[in-house]
Amino acid sequence: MIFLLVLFNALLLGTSLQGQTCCTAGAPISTSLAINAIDSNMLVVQLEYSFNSVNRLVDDNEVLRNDPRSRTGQNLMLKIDYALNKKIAFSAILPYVNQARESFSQAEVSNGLGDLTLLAQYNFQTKPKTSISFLNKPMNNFGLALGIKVPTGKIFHDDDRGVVLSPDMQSGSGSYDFLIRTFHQKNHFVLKNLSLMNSASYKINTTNQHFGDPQKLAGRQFKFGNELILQTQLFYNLLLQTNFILPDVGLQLRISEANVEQGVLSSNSGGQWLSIPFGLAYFFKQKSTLRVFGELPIWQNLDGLQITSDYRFGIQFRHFLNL
Amino acid sequence: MMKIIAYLVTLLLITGCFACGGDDEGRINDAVETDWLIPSAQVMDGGPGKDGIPSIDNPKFTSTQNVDYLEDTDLVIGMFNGGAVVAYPHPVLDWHEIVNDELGDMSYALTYCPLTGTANAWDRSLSAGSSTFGVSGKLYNNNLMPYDRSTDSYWSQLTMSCVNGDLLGEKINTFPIVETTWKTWKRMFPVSIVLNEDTGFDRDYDRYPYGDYKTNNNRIIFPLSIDDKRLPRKERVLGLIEDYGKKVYSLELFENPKAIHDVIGEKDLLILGSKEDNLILSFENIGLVDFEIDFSNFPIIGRDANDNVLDVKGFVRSGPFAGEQLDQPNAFMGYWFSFGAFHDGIEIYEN
Repeated sequence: MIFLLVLFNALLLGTSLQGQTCCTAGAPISTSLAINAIDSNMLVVQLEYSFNSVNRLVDDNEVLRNDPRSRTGQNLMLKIDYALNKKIAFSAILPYVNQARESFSQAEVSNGLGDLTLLAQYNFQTKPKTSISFLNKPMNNFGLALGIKVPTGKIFHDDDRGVVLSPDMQSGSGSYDFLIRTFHQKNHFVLKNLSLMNSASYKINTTNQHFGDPQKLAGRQFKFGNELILQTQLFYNLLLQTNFILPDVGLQLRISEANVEQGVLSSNSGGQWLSIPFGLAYFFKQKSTLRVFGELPIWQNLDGLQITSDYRFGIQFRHFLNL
Repeated sequence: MMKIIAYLVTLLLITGCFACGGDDEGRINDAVETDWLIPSAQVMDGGPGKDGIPSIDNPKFTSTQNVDYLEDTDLVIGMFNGGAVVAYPHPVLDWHEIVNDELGDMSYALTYCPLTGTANAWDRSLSAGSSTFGVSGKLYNNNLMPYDRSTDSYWSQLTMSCVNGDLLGEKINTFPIVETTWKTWKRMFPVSIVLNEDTGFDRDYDRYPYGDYKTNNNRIIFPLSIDDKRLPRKERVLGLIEDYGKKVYSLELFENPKAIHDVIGEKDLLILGSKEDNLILSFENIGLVDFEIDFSNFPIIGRDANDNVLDVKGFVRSGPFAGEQLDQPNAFMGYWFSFGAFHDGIEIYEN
């Protein structure tokens, strides 16, 4: 039954931390910052698809009408976790990114592998001994993850005239970025079947000195703004004989600094977003999970005029392999 | 272990399927137009995409006396044709950049680039027929690149020519414009119509969308091919761009209102300006001498030593040249850096 504990923990730690803006290159890597496998000799393979509709034009905190633009982002993400032991684990995330930008006169699409993220996580407390009834056992765990995003993604997608697309339409950011994440997980939160997960993630971005093809676009500098994501989420477990269902709902605050272009802060980027992430997971055959999830923005206070997400949804499959 | 490897390979194949179709699959505009008259590597994608900044194609107007949405310090672009006079305020243009309009027998696209601070009025009659223009979303040297909706060709505002597409190399004809503050405009033309905020788009026209861009000399959003630092980047100048020569005149020259008699090539020019009124006018001189500027009695703008009285439209109201009209050269206001970037080593008028 070890896998059950792993599954449960995986679900808790792997919940979405997706940002609400379209204005980041590539996949939202903060989506899967946490490492799921916490048991030795276990490999967790995750495949996730998400669709982000970016069709809300906001000026500061006012939603505007009649915008001729629409944006969508689709990500297919492969994530592999490996636990060295019960305290130390490693993870790699590789997304495939599809970005689309459309107006009444033109549609442009870019596809490509995104940036590779590598993470190391340390759990300060090992999990309690597992049993079939582990969900009823108290657990109070703290974890810390550090990571780096390596610029493996394409950064010179161009249009049908050979013009390199803007940074937010690229698959990668072209920069080495650094990640830090802490989390706290508590079972038996108020109710026996209720668990609480709190997390904080901070991403420090660096500057891509030559956005786009260095041979074609020398001199353009761009840095995506650093971002902080705070999230709290509640999970309620419903046991169905050997399988079980786990609905979750939470609250997420994302704070992003302005982008920096040519060394100067961009006036129409950065801000604060508040959203409700939610999901429903099904555990089956004691080796796999299937989860559908979504996210709805409820408030934003943006710097200037930005097109931002109006909803996001996705589906996630995980499989656990004993090595 | 083999099972695991097989599993991972399967997942990678699934990932690969997502990529099927390769880059840029799904474009509506599949035509490949890669011939450029300007270095394509210096053409930048601004981010909003084509028509992401919507042009105004059905402009609506308010008469001068009923305008309550402008501050005295707001800049406006003015045009006149016969007795018809129209103004386009920067606070609206900042959000739309192009207005497809008509004035009398003139059919034009008023193009305005917030990043270079330049405006000019383009004749919409092209070799391919009449067209409207839209915002392509691309920039060259931070400057607007309109596209024509007849052939989908891309143009450069400051080269005033087609730089990509079917009309490659075609030059645009322009109509004269004048730029000044709303306060001065009201004095010049108490009776005119003014583009209003009923654009069909929900925008906060009271807010300038680019932060401190107007005054921050360090803030240039995209790389420049030439970064000419002889003047502060954001200093407002009148750029005179003609076949016979090119020169810029800084508004700072006109701390005290004055007339400049200048010669470019073999063309005799009259440059009149007042920093206080935020106005520089330019005319091709027909023989006016020792012109004395006087912006206190619009539409009259001064007289010369022979008592030729000139008005803001270039008409000689009285005097030996009465009834003549002075032509206006192709000249428009803008941030210095834009003229420096487009015209290497362009001459700067100095006292």
